[in-house]
Amino acid sequence: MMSNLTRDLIQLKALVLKEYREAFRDKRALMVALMMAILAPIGIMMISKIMIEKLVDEPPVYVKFSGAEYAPQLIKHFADNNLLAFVDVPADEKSTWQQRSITLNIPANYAADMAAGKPIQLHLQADFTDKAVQPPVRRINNALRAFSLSIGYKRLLLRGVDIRLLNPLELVEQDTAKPDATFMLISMMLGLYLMLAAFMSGLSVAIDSSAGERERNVLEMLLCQPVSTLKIVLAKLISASTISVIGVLLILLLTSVSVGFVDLTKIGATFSLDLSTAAILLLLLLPICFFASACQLFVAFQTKSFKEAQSTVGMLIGIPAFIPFVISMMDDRPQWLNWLPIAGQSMIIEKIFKGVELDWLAVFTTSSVTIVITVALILALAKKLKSEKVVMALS
Amino acid sequence: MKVNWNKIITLAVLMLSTTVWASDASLLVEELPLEKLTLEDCHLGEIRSQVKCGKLVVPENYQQSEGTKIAINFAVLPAIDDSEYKTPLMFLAGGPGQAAVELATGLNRVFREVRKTRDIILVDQRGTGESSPLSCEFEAVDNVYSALPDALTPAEVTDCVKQFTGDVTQYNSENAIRDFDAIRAALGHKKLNIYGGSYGTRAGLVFMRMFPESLASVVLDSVGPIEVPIGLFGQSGARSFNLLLENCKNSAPCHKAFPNVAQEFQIVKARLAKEPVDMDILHPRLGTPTKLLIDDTKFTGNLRFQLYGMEGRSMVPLVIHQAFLGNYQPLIGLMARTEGEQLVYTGLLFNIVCNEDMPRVSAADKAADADNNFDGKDSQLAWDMVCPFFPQYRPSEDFYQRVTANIPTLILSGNLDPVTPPSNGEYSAKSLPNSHHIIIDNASHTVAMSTCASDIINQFLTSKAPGNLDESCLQNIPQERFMTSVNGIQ
Amino acid sequence: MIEVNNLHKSFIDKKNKKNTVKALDGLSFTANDGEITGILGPNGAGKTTCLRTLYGLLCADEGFATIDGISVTEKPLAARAKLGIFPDKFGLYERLTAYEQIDYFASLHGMSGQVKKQAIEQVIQDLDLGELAHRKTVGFSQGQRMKITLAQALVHQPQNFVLDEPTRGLDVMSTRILRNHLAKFKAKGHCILFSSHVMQEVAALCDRVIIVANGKLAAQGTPQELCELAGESNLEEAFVKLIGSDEGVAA
Repeated sequence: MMSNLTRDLIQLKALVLKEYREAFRDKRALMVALMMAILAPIGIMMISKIMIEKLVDEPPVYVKFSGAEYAPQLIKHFADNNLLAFVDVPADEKSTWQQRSITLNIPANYAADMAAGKPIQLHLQADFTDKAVQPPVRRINNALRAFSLSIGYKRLLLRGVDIRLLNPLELVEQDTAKPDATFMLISMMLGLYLMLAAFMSGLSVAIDSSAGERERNVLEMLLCQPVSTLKIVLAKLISASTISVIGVLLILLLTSVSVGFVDLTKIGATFSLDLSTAAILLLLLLPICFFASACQLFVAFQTKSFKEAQSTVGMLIGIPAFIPFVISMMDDRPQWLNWLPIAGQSMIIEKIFKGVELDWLAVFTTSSVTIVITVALILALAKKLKSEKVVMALS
Repeated sequence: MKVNWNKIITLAVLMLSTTVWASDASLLVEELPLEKLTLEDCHLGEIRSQVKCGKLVVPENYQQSEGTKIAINFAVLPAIDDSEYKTPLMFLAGGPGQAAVELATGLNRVFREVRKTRDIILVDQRGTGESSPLSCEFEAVDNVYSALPDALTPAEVTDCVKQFTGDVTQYNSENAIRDFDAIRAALGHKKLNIYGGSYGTRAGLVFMRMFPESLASVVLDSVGPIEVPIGLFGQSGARSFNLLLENCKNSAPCHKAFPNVAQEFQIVKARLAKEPVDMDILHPRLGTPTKLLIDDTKFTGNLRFQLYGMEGRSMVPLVIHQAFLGNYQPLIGLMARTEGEQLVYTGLLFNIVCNEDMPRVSAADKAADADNNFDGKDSQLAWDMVCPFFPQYRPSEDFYQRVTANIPTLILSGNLDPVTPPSNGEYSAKSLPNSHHIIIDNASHTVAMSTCASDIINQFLTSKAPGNLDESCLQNIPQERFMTSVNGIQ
Repeated sequence: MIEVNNLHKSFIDKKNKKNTVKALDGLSFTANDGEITGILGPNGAGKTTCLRTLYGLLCADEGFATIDGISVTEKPLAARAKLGIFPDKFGLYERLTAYEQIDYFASLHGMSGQVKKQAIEQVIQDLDLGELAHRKTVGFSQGQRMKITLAQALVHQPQNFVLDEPTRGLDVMSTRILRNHLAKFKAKGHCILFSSHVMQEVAALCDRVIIVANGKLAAQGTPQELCELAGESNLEEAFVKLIGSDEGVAA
């Protein structure tokens, strides 16, 4: 006679194997998980690139100067700031700058007025409502102001004035953030994204193996088999969360590779995902993956149809995106937030990226709470599957 | 008795022409930290982000390691991206007597590319900044306008020297290098890259001789080689000034505005030598009446100070011409730029130059140096006045040996430099086997501070191949430009 | 052997007590080993409720059901182990191959190793599934699906076999295969419980017929006995008569 344990193991193995087979053969579900993973580094790279461009890079701006010949030094100063004459625009950008048509008029009496110490008005013409025109205009403004100031300083200096008098007050900003915490945005994004991935990657599989199976009339057959509902739920949980974990792993891997291609130091930021950080992140997100799958199964099993499951569980995704966002906005964070699933983890992830030393107690507490809630959800779901309500919903 | 060093300080210093100065150079009576090395987060100058400030306790006299201890102050500008360890860059300041940590704001900007991946280490050389500075009590407000570079009395100098605490003879270049290497070891670095600017190149060369195994690469910017004593700047100043006159002549607007500027300079100099200007002005900063006294030495001294940087040079023809016309306001404006600011720790400046360089200078050398049409022997005045009254020490025998260390070395010179002309760099280029000398035509003293040479340095720190660098950006440095009217440029 | 004794089951609408449906009202019957027992009954008579109670999915308000003497309410897993089920709406795992699917159910019944392998081979051979075995079940015809479902229900050689309207939607050939198989099964001494609407089929196949109406046993016996009881010559007429009236059908 077979012992109960071997029987349990055989059953569980068969259940998990079957869930895995179905999950890994479900191209659409896998695509969702993979897309998340591939989009992450691409998104992070794109956003960082845009940020860097906005913050640091000064792409060439082509200005239609009229009267450039009257102010050669000014034109040279503009050129040093990558503000170039429209005549030099490369062919492929010509139409763009033709359309933006930023024009600076330098009056013919520039030199004479300069020598006479008279204020000179330069006229800048552009469509100021055009968003693309605003950064170039700002840069022209700054360059002109700097040039004007330097002349003004020299004029006073050469009249025997101590030019330091012109700066009575100076505000020196001292950022008390940890030196390596300046890249917050990227890490916040990644933290959020990882959380989202933990929720999203296993989503399709969770819905498919619950509401989907019911819709395909295979659930009743399964419930009639000599297997406890707990095992059934466990198998589905394991399968869905495995996909989640794979999604998270892929994101960590691809991100650590791809961030190397972006020079974040340009914005005074650094980002590296070393092995130990990645390991800690994974450790933190592992319970979240299970928690997420448990939530999704719990909800999906109770819906009336596959479609309903999709839309209801879809709303669940909002939670991991919403909670960290709200937390990052909160100034006074109540203590209990530290223990909640998602909230706790997102705060710890934030700290990891800030370079603050890891609070292992917090990791332990929030992981434990998450696991306890997950177990409770699973037990409740196993019990629910035995109920008549679920059976009646089958046909 | 108060000594006003500032009246002679414009005469000749090998210092960096960064124009940013730390605003809080607090000279507190220091208490020695209990631990040998301390390092903590801090804010420096105008740098927005936090950096690290530290102190290392070292023996004042390395021969007596159990004797008096002093604390060496230093700062680390941590690499922005520290994901992979790269050998840090240590900055050796000029002067002698500039305090590296006080230059943090400017250096953070100049070396921003380097700092992306490397720590930058700034050490206050012993005798400067917060490393047991050698300084005297200063008059609360120095009046640079009414003061003339009078002869200092021996009593004034000895009285100042008396105020120094500790054994002044230990505040020498070699001990400074021992401090630097001790900080390297204490921070746990196997090797360092060093950038020496101006006198810092001398320090760097000494470093190369004493601890070659500690250095991964060396940048010498505006070299003060062992072969050339620091302190004789008559010929180099005249050369720099004459290049300026030539450039003005070759520039159409400048030549048009100041066709006779060379003669005018000589006329003004002769006029002031005969009879110094003595007039009542309003203090440029305070707005209160004060006296303006200018003699020929003060006039050339202030002009010499402008020759260190391109900005200052651009105003020189105009200043000379206006002085020729009897208008000294432009000169007053130039004097006002650094009025009341301590540029170098003068005690350390004289301690090192008087003991390590001047003893090697013969009367013939001095005479040859004084034979120039710019400021004659004016640049030697300070040494002649002060050195006889300073405590004496002699560096080790090795000190004057040519440095031949086989370390990748990038040598930089600005052709217009009034104190360390390209010929200085040639000495080191010849003696160092793995070196390359870049001479930048349209630049003056310490080229990395004002040109794209800082990017070339960044390249060099990575490649360690001094002869194989992309120097193309230097082509874009424009010719000297000059102010042609008090109202500005065209 | 399947025994159903005095089953009562009501579905209570919590919002509106008047809508409470009495699905089973004291149903009792026995399906013996070596016999094919047919359940006949109009829609809503309580057939599905009865079978679900038998599977242990629903819990009777009163009465009990046993499979080989094991109470389905007290030991549902043990009772199910003795049961092969062919559900009324059968679906397949479309991303699994037929073999994997049969293997899955075999494992769920605790089979493993060589025993399992042989059992699967056997059932594949019995049902002539050799060609389909290693294809994914997506796109299978209704007949092919029926065979797979049959295979997964029978792979563990259950003593008792319950079929809920198995021939619905099947073509003649498939129906014949099913019938042959049931006959073989019966010959081996298994107990077969069979719900259907097709009178000829029931008449041809069943040893005994149980007619259920309004959650109660309306009549039972061999098809012959039922015809005699109703005084009709064919089973359909007998059925209509035995369940009471046309109104009875509507109820």
